[in-house]
Amino acid sequence: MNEFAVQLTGVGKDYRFFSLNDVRLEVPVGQIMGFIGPNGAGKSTTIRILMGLVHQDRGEVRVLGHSMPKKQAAAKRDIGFASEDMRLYGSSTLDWHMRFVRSVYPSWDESYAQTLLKRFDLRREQRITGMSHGQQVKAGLLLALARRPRLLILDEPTTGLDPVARHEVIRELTAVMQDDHRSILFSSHNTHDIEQISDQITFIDRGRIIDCRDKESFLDRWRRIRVELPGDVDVPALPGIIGVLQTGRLAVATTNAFDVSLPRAYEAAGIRVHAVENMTLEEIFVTNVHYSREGVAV
Amino acid sequence: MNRALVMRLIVKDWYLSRVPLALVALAGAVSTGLLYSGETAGLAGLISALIALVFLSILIPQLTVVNERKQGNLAFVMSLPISPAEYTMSKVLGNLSAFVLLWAAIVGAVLGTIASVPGAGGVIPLGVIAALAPFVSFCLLLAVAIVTESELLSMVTMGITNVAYSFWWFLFRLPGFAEGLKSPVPIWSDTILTIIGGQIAVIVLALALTFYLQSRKTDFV
Repeated sequence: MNEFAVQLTGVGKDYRFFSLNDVRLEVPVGQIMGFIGPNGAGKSTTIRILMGLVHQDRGEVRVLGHSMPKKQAAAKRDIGFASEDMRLYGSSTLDWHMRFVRSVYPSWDESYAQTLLKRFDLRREQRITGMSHGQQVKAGLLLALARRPRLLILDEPTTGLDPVARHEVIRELTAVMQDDHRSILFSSHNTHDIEQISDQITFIDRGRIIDCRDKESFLDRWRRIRVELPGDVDVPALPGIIGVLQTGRLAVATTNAFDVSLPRAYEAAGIRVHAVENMTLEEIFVTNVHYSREGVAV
Repeated sequence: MNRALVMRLIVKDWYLSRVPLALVALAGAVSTGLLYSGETAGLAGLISALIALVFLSILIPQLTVVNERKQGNLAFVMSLPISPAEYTMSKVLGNLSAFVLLWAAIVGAVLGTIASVPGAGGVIPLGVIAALAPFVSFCLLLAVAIVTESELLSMVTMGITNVAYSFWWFLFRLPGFAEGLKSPVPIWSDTILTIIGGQIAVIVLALALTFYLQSRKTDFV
């Protein structure tokens, strides 16, 4: 069995005003990959390439062992897909959609679909046009989840949802991962959602992957060190420090390779260390994008 | 080719378009009924049958292709285990079958009625050309809608094909076209057969180009 649910190697796609360049992305089987990027960074393009909806201009794409876009029909048998801009047929009921999807996928699990109906508080007789945005998103997720796919590809599924609905969706995705053979690629610009459920995290900006590692590495390696300088001098350059914000004698150094030796090195240079602070995933993401746009190797 | 899934997608399009299609069928039935209701009503029946066919030629591609794209349903369809070729096949066959079914019923009823009137056989070649005109418009619109997925270009195509109906009177100036209209039996002159051949060629070409251009397309949403 293939150890990766998703593999992209050197993938590129050119549009008139945007290019996706040299994308390398691997989602191991049984893992949740959080895919974070600002608006227009290339998340949706990457995901559309994964689904065969957009064909890459260069590079290789394999999804569940199938080469894309050539073998997309075979790959999509085991993919559940939901995206923020995907709409169900407004004039039809959720029940009609459920029967339609069930007729396409032999793996459809009716009892799980019933459970999801209750959990998401949806009515199968209701027309899609009569549903709120949150209900429509949950209906789309129900259709994707109840077919029991090996891979879930979710493009901004929680965008526009209220906190309760977001919590329900996140809880359900966590439950899906109790099966070790399933994988999820979850794109969002909401780092809070990603931080809750992801094992691996990839940052994308301006069509390039700027960082990719497991969540714990991100959270362990990134720190803010608040220091006070002994006089009117600059903060000395230390390996692992990617940026310093200095105001008079006070400074904040940011590192993406934290080690206990870093604050000790400052103290050895006569610099008083006030605090070593953890960074949230959002702070790490914003800092990462900021420095990568300035050409700093992060 | 996943024939079962292509068939499901065709049935889905029929189902989602069932109400407007039923209304066109009703309009066709009323038009045919008018043909039996005297000379003035008969003329109204002919015109309303043609309008029903023109409406049908626009309605199906608009509902099943343009709206699907506009309302964001295309991503849902393309997330199913189908290839772009299967999607194209389902759209072309689904649209064609729904159109041909109603088109053949309305055209058959109208031409059958005309043929049953003693001495009116000469009108039948004109009737065939008139019946094929919405078929040509339908195929052109279907091709543009599927290939470009653009509402604007589909509307432009609709406009052009609708304006083209205004140039019908030019046909009457063609040698061998108007002469046979008063004949009691159909006269299939070279001019008539050339026009019909041209219409059929456009239909075949539009459908063939749809498959060809779709096979070269790289962006589907």
